[in-house]
Amino acid sequence: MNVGDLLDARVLGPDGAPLGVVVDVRLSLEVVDEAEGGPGAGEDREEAEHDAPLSAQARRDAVGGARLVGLLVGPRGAGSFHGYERTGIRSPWPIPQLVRRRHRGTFLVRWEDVAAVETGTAVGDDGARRVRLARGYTQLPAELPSASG
Amino acid sequence: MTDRRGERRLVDARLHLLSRQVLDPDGEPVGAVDDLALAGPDGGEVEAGREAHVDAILVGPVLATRLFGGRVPDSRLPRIAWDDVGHVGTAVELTVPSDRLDAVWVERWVRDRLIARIPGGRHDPEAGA
Repeated sequence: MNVGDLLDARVLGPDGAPLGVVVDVRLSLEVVDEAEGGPGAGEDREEAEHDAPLSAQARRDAVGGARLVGLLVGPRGAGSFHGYERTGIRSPWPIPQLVRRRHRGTFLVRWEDVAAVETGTAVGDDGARRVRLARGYTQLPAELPSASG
Repeated sequence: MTDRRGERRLVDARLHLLSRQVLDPDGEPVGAVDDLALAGPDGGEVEAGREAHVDAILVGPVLATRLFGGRVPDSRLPRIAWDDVGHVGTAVELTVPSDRLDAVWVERWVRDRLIARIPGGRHDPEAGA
């Protein structure tokens, strides 16, 4: 299964009620110690001090494994890739405010609470994937911790 | 430098990984993240609700399917093992040079079989005069 198979899949509650679509897939990256320093690491730092490109302010981590945490379920699909409803970004006004309003109600559901991922292969089906949630699933807030940029 | 051992960083696939550039240790672009392959704990199929992790980055010729629809079968998409990923920032940086990746075999083939046969094709412009 690929992440792309889950994205935009329709999400159904335990009773079959439609809840929305998968707008994103949340992963947890293991941050490893960078004591040995990668070959490119020192070079980048030097450059950053030199003319400080915008990318130098962005977070860059040495990573290990990436675990699947859960699915972000939104009432509407399109437009969520901006991620405004998951971050605290407030400018340029009024774009984040409008996008956030459109995507309010977006929640995170843990992968453990996913009961099944089905492919619609039945006759008359459009072939779209469906994600069915387990009974007693919890809706968690969709916000990312502010530390990750 | 603060010790961040054991720390985990939460990222959203679409927001932080998909369509990001993949660079090799020399900063050479390898491609873009088109999809992420998931695997179960023992490397097998993913089961809903059971532990799963990212197994590989899929890079490949997806432009045609983006334009015309449909999808490329997984077996036709070049894979880069997630174990080869070193850093995740604004780009995904690998720990293996691009020459050792199967994902760029087309580029390598064109360089060795076609470009190298053109007079002057073996000259490295970056090596100086």
